[in-house]
Parts: sequence; structure tokens; C-alpha cells
Amino acid sequence: MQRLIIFLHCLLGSILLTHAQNTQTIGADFNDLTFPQFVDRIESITHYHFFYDPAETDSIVINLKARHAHLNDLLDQVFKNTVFHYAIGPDDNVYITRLNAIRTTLIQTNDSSANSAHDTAWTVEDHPATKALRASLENKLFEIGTPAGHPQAGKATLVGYVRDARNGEALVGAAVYLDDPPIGAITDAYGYFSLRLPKGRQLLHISSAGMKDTRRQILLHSDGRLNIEMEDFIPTLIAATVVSEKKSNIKALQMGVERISIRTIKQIPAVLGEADVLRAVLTLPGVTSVGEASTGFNVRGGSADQNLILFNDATIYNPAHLFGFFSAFNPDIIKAVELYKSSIPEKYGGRLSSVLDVSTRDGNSKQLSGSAGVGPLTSKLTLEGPLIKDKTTFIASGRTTYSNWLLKALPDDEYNSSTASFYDADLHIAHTFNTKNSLFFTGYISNDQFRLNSDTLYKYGNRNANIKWKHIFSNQFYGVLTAGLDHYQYSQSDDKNPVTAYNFAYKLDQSSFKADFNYNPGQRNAIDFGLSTIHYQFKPGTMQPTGSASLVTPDIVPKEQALESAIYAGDQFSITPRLSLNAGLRFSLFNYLGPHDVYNYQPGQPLEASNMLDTTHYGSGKNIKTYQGPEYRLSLRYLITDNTSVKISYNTLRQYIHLLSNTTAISPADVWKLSDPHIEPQLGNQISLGLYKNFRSNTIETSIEGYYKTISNYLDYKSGATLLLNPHIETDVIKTRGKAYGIEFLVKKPAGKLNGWFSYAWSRTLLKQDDPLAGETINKGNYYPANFDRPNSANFVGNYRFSHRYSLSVNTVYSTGRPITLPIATFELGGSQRVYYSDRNQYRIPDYFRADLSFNMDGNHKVHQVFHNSWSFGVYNLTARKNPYSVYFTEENGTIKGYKLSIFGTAIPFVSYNIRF
Amino acid sequence: MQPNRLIRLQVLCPFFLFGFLLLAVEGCKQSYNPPAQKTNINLLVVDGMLNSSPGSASNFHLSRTQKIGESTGAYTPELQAQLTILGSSGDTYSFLEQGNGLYTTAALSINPAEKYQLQIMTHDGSKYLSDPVPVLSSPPIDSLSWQPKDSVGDVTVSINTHDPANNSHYYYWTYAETWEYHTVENAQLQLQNGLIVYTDSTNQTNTCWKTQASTAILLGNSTSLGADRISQAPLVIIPQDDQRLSVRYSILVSQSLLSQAGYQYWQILQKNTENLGTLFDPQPSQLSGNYHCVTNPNEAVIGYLSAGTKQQLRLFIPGLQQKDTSTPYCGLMNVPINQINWQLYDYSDPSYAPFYFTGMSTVLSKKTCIDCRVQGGTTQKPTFW
Repeated sequence: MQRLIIFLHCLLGSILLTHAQNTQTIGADFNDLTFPQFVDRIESITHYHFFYDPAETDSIVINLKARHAHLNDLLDQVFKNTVFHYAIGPDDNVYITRLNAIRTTLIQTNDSSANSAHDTAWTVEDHPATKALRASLENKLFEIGTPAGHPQAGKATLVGYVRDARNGEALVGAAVYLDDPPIGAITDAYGYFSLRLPKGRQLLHISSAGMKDTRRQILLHSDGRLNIEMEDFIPTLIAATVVSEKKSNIKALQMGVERISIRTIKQIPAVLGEADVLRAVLTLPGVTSVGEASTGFNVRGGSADQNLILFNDATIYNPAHLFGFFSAFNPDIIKAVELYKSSIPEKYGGRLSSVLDVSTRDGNSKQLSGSAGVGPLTSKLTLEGPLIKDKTTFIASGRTTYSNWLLKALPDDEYNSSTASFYDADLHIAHTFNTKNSLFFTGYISNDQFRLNSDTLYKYGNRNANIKWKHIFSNQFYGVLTAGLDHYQYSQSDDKNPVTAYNFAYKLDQSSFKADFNYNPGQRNAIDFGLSTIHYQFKPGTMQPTGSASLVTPDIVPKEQALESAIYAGDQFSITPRLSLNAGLRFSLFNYLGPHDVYNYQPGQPLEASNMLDTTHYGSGKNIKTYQGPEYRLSLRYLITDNTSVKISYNTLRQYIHLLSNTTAISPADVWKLSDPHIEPQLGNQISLGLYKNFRSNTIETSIEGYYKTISNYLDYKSGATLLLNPHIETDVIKTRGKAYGIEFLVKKPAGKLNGWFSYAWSRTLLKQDDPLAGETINKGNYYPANFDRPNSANFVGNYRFSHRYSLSVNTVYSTGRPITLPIATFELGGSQRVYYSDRNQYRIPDYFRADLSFNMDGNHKVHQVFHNSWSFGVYNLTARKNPYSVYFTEENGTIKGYKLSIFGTAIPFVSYNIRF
Repeated sequence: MQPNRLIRLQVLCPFFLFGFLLLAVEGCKQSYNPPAQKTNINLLVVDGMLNSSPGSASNFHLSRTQKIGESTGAYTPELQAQLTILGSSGDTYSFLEQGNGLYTTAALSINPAEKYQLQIMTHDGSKYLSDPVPVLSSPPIDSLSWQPKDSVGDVTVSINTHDPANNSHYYYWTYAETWEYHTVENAQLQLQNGLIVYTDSTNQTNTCWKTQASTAILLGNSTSLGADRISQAPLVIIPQDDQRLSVRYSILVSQSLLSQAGYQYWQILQKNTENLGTLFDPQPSQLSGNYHCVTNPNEAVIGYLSAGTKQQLRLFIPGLQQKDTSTPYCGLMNVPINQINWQLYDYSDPSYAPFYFTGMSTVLSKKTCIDCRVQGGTTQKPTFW
């Protein structure tokens, strides 16, 4: 490629071009063919044989109608206004070359008819291999499209990919923009952008978090393509700041979107040095959790099951390892996580609170490389590289723990009778057929099993696979088809006593298909539309005896299945350059399908086993119940000044599946339940308003967002509800309404020697249960705080780089203790000791505070060494505060005593070592 | 790769892992005292039902709730209260205080057509009143059954009842179990007033009877059935090796009726309190009974008044267990017979008692082998036995 650029510069003056006589004529229609396809056609109908480089010519799209045409006429048309030349040799050999035509004979004729437009390129590949070249790329003028020969008015579309120059990875969320007029685009998940610009000479700015800003001078003639490679941001260059992302928080239409790159995630000190995607999410304003032993998180007052967790579009039902201490995503293959907490794009649906989009890298397209890490608890290995050069890349990783082995090694019986182990593995393959078609495959597997001081063995795991095909129809229009299978299973077994040996299993499968399309007809509109369908198959529970001596009665809760489908469309519309509107509509449809037996209850009576009348049997595939409704996604942005904007958004969402959990933290034993004739889908509404302002030339971002949200049909549980192996769960749940509101402040300095953010949120989440048909009410039907209601929470994440090898990171967390219901008295009634509870959630456990510190040390930065290593040392919970996680009461010698349990009751030092090759 | 670094790390690992394990160990468990109560949790607890069976007295126990953390034995009875039953047609019935929080009526003649309230005046001047409740007349218990009939497996005692008038729906049961049991050895000697005597029918300690009341909340409901019938509702499950099944067992079941609201009250109480003390407890619910404090409407009162007849039925189950032929450990000991007076007994360990004489000495045995009373029973044969 470097050679090519030199050629580009050298190319001046006239070029020798030879056309051989040809006699064969061609009659054919060529519709939307790539050059290789065109060649195949020609070769199949003539004797011509082509010699060309498919990679060079893959940007040419051919639409021709040939009638008695000679090949040279056709090729003239194909290569018109391009840098390509052809020569037809005496043996019907056709040579396609770039810039210079080949001489097929020794005839020397000066032919100045060659249209050798200087630097004109249909596709311009730039490869900033050296600093000098990069500088020259920035100063060079790229002509794009077909010159019309005279100054042009109007607009043209520029598309292309933004990639990392080091490994060819697509850069997501990179901003490509003009300063004047203020037009810009953000690259999508594939690094792809499409921008409608005024024709003529423009200065294009490109910036992306963690990458060095760059710019391109373009002369835009007509629609065209420009692929851009960006260089790593080198930390010593303090002056280099990433302007675009900071601007994008002002300019982006969406509000409440937080994107954390893996670079940032890795800086946050984590439990035992294990960089953790979900823990990083917890540092964001508006995100809380019930406690440390839970990777379940609560977004703006939503429960943990109201978050859609996507791993390259695969739904992960349990994103936690080791009872919830670690997230099940290997940080080494993650590119970034994106959390949508207020305006959720219309392409997403099915959950009420948020979408957490975890995306992996595509793998190094330039060379085989990898990384390995050793921490106190896990080891991991990642390999990535090209499979077919410039076509196919892969990234694969595996992670496992040696906690099991270590537990056995510990002297105390209590530990070495315990086991705990997990692993996860991922494989991601990206294949590019041509500029228009790419295919992506993602496979994911995770597994956990543990037995802690008990005889019960718990196991759970996710299995996911999906395949995505991206097709670019035209510069303005592309689509992605995704088909996927997601699986989650949980089991629990105990075979110590052969008489009571059992195995309980729970499984869910979902197969999904979706088609998403993007259409950018002009700079003022960006339209997306699509459809999706998910088929759910749940096996809610099977209890089986194990061994012949077991007297356990088999108990199988009947399977259930349903179909959730949706169509959506939305438009991002720039009303004026300062005012933009995003209007989206999603219509979702849910069919609860047979075979199933549905219990019927006495009308007007509480849904209780005692009021059960009979059952209705529905045959296989029969539609039992349909729920449907529109979901509105609206947001409006007004740019007050260049670095101040105000946004407002309104969202409605529907959720058709429910996590049955009456424990405070999500446990692996919690089962999912589909909406059915008795359990209605959850509905949510959210309105939010935000003010965004950047300071000091966009190096400091600030925002204030306020929101008000309502939730209905959220499930709460009756006293003593049975959630496992309950074939009529509707008798144990009660519908609850909720409201949540709050204000979130965020100050962020994304780059520089000192970087990080501070967030503070004041928020309340209140629930209310006053359904007279529930059989009982909670707190007399008044509003009460939800389990995860933590009115004050503040986070500080800071990183200071002493040099480009050493940095120090601090993470501090404060939040109000979560609400609990306490037994406040005991009494004797009906012959036994009873307990009197306070109203639901009227007390709080003590406030939570934690500070973590880590010191990161990179090995030397010699670029060409084989291994790059880094160390991370730190202390989790530096102040050794015993933060109570839970409070419980137990009867000891006739006395009811209270205990508080803290998870990390001391300061925990850690060290981890990573190597990249 | 730098393997030496890796090796060093592995040496360090157990230490870190130990830190990690703290989550599961006692070191992270601290005692917790609930915060000072927002309200004065010293609630009145009313336990009892108005028994309308002709000629029956009604018993009510009044007590106060205790703070969490106090010994469960610290029962605090409510003394010197004045209880009155108020009929809807103006008839009133008063109670007699029996001590320790027990208040009883004389034998009453309750009119089943009226509604009744219980009024309580505590000695601190607070006045409590229940909602008026109807008198619910229970149908008789049809039968009590038990299964399995052979001696394999745990025995379940079940109740069958029905209401031909289709009017009852919500049933509430209590029971009292009595069983006979024997010690493994027959003592030939007994101690009477500190002196050794020979065993006879008046002082035997081999055969005992023990009685205990139900502690679980037993509820039945027939609303989902076409007929008002309870079939084979389990009341008690006796493990097959339980002492209760050793010789002979008897259960006296009392049946009364509840209103729908009363049923829900007991159901919540049942679910709330029979599941205490695990880390992931289900969320409890607030109890709201049908007593109210008149003088302070915000003060909660625990209890639910129901009125009605009680129906009783007794069932006997023969001993189902194989006689244990093995010789248990009785800690037998020989002490010399007192040469002056053979009746004198001066062995100081109270867990031992004389078993029999050998020629030279008194054989002592652990009381658990020869004295059934140490297991809580009485040697007095019940009248119904």
C-alpha cells in the first residue's frame, strides 16, 4: 500500500495505453456486480481471460447493459473516472492495472486519452504506516467520486470504515465530522460511517476515544468511499485530546447513554485484579446494586431482570461467575460496553430498564497475536489474528479459575470440602466477502459450579451462538441479519443421603432472528427499521431422584413456550442544525403458546390455590394468550451553544419475561417466567431531561439528567411464596406498580494525565401493591422503597498517569444502605413462637463505603519487542470497612439473634500479571 | 514469557484466595442489633377463640410482644386486664383472670345468630376492641385416618370432614397428641423420699404417657371444590422411628371454622413465621388482625378473634415399631449396698438411679434407661387411655 501511495505521487503526465483489436461482441446485462463477478460473466461468455487483483478492484460496482458491445467499450465504461486501466493482449488476455496500463505489445504510441485523474480514487485506502506518512495523509488531498469537470453544488454521500492502524480493528463510536457546517457521523458497531456532505473541498475530522485525532482533506465530487485508519493514542503526548467523543455527548441525540471502553474498564481497580465489565458499569450514575455479591445491577430504579445484557447481540441470562462476584465476560476480548439507560433505541426491546451492549473486538487483521493474564483467581488466554488475509479474522479466548484446587489445598476442613470453579470461552470470527458483505460469528459458553460448606452442588451456565450478515445495499442503505441461539441452565443436586438424593434442573432456550436496516438518505435523516422475533422455550423445573435408593418423587413443571416479535422504525431528523429529533416506534407482539394447561380461578377472587376451579388444556402450538402494544421512543436535542445542549426524551417499553426472585440479590436459582394468561407483561414509561455542557475546550464534560419513570405489572411475591417447582406461580405472585425518579450528575475528564469521573445520583424507587385481588397488600397499599432503593450514591473513578508506564487508579463508592424488613418483635400465638415484622423495607442496613486503589505498571514500551507485559497491584476495600451485605435473624438457644454479614470484611490485596504478544 | 514471575505469583495465591474466602466464613459475620424502633413495639397479643359449644368455657391468653434478642422463654403475660364479650343484641359476658395472662369465661350459652366482639381494658387504661365476628358452627369431623398401616415409612395422620350445608369452607385445626412409651429396662428398684424401695404398680417408672399440643398452624380450605369437603388433609407426620409410634399413640383433633379474612390472617402468619432465619428469606408480610386499639388507633394489636363451635375427635394408633432387641448403653455401675440400712441411697449423680440388687451391690443405671419421666412424660395414665 505504501508503494501505491508513492505511485500516486509519482504519477504525472501521460500514460501509455494499448487497446488491442478485438472482434468478439458481448450482449448481456450486468446488474450490481462486483468486478470479480463481472469478470466471471465475461469469461463465461467470451474467450477473454482476465488478470487482475480482486482486492484492488473490489470497490467497483458495475451496472451496464451491453448490446453488441466490444470489450474495450465496456471496460472504458467500467473504468471511466477511475485509476484503473486495462490492456487487451493478443491471446485475449486482459490485464487490469492500477494507474498504469500494461503494454501488451511493443507498439509505442502515445495515447493521451487515458483518464488519469490525479489521485482520483473510487476507494481510497490510507495506511499511516509511518508518522511521516500519516502527516502526509493529513495534508494530502483525497479526491472522492467522479469529477464533473466544473464546480458542483449539492451534496454527496461519503461512506467508509474507521479502523485501528495497529490491528485493523473497527473503531466503534469514532466521530467523523466537519466543523463548518457542523455535520458529523458516529461509526457504528462495525466502524462504518455514512455522511452526507456538501460537495467540494472539505476538512474532515476523525476522532475516537483512545486514538490520536486525525483529519483528512477531501475534495468530494460525488458519492464515494474513504477508509480511514487511526493510530493509537500515545499517552506521553499529553496535548493530544480526544475532542470528538466529548463533543458527541453534546451532539448525540440519545441521552443516558454511557460508553466505557475496555481501556477505562481495565483502569478501575477490581476485586482481586480481575477487570470486570459489570463492576465498571456500577460506577456510572444511576446504576446501583443490592450488594457486592451480586453482579445484578439496577438501572434507574429498575430491577435486575429489566436489563437486557447483550454479548455481540446474544442474550446472556446470567452474566455472573462465582455466585455473582465476577462478571462472566473475559475483559481481554471486550471492545467496549455501552449502557442505554434512558433513551433506548427502537431496535432494542424486551426489557424495561436498560440495554447493556457488550461488544467484542473482531480480532487483529494484520498478524497473529494474543494475550495472557494471571491473577490470584483466574488465568486467561486470548488469541487473535487473520485466518485469511484481509478477509477473515478471529479472536478466541478462554478463562478459568483454580479456586477449586486452592480450596482443596487449604488446611481447614471447612474449605477443602467446598468446591467452586468456573470457566468461560468465546470465539468471534469476522469474515469480509467484499466491501458489501460481511459475516460475523460469535460463540460463547460459560459454566459455574460450586458447593460451599454444604452438600448441595449448584451448577449453571450460558451457551450462546449467533451469526450476523451485514450487507451494504448502497452508500445510504445497509442491513444486518442476525440469527442466534441462547441457552441458560441451572441445576442443583445433592446425593449425600441416597434416600433423598435428587437433581433439580431448570433450562431455557431462545432462538432469535432479526433484521436491522439503516438508511441515510441525506444528512437530515437517518432512518432505521427492522423486525425481530424470539422463540422462547422454558423448562421451568424438573426434580428427579438420583440413584435407585432415592425416594424423591419426580416432579416436572410443564414446559412453556412463546413467541415475541417486533417491528420497528425510527428516524433521526435534523430539524435545524441545532435542533434534532429522534422519533421511533416499536410494535411488539407476544404469543403464549401451547401445549400448556392453564388453571382457571374463580372470577373476582384472589388467584390462590384455594380458588382454583379447573384447568384448560391447550394443544401444541395453539395460541393461548396474546399481548401486544406500541412502544414509543422519542428524543429531542437542542444545541444551545457549540458546547452546551439540552435533551429531552420519552420512552415506553414492554417486557414479556419475568425473573422470579424473592431474594434481595439475584441468585442463580432464580427462574425466568414467561408472561401468561395470569401474568401480564411489565410496562414501563420514562421521561428524562438533561443538560450537557463541556468546559475547557471539551476536555471536561458535565451533565445533569433528571428522570421520572413508572413501572407496572412488576412482580412481587406473597409471603412464603414458592417459586421453584410451582406449576401455578400466579398464586404466589402479586402485581406491583412502581415509580422511580432521580437526578444524576456527572463530571468526566476522559483524557489527559488525570482522567476519570465523578458521579452523584439522588434517586428513589418506590413500589406500591394495592391490588385487592392479590389476597394481601404490602404496607397497607402504600408506596414502599424497593430493595435497591439507595437515595444517595456517589462514585469517583480516577486515574493518574505518572508516565506512560506507571499509573495509579482510585475507585471510591458511597451509597445509602439498602432497605430491609426487620423482625421487630416476637410473640407466642397458636402454641408457638412467632415473629412480628416491620412494614416492608422500613429499615436500612448501614451505609456502604469502599475505596480501592491500584497501581498499574506497564513493561517497557519498545514497539518491536515480542512480549509486552503489565502488572497491576492493588488493594480492594482499602479502609477494611465491614460493609454489611445482609442482615438476618436466627434462633439460637431460644433467643432470636441478629447478624450482619459482610462479603469483604477486610482489605484485600491483589496482584495480576498480563502479557500481550 | 517470564515463567519465574508466574511461579512467584502462584506462591502468593493461597493468601489472596484466603482473602477471597472471607466471604464465606465467620470472620465476616458480626452480631447485629436492630436500630432503635421507630415505634414502641410492645404490642398486645390476644390468643384465643370464643368457643360457642354449649356449656364450654372460652380461654384467652393475653401477652405482650418481646424485643428481638430477648430469650424466647421471657413470656410477658398481660395481667389485670378486664375482658368482656359483647353480643350484638347487648348481652355481655365477663372473664375471670386465672393468672399468667390466662382469662377464662364461665360456661356460656352463645347465640349463633348474633355477632360477638371482644373488648379488652388493660390496666394501663388502653381499650381494645375486636371487629364483630359471626358465630361459625363447625360440622363434626367425619374421620381421622393414618397411613401407612404397615410399619414402613413415616406415619401421616389426616382428617376428613365435610359440611352438607356447603357453608364452612375455611377450617382451622389444633390437636393434642398423647402417647405411651416405655423405658428399655424395667427397674426393680425405685427411689421414694430418698429411700430405695421395690417397684410396684404405684411407683413404676417404666411406662409413661406424654402429651403435647400442636404448634403448627393447620388450615384447610374447600373453596376450590364442588362440595364443601376436606379429604385426607394431613395434620401431623410422625417419623417412623419416633418415640410416639413405639407403644401406642393418640391424637385429639379440634376443628373450628374461620371466616375468609381469618383464614388469610392465619395463612400469612403461617408463611411468615415458619420460615425464619435463613440468608435469603422470602419477603415477609405485615399482619393485620381484627383487633384494634380504641384509645390509640395507630397501635397494632396481634391476634384474630373468631367465634364458633369446636368439634373434636380422637384417634388411636397402635405401636408400629419393632421391639428394639439391642442392648443400649446404660452406663451400669455397681455401688456397695449400705450395710446398715439397704434402703439408704447416697450416690450423688442425679442422672443415675438404682436398677436392681445383686448379692453384694446395687446396680445403678442411667435414668434414661429406667426412668421414663426424664423424657418428659408422666407415669399417670390418662383417663381416656
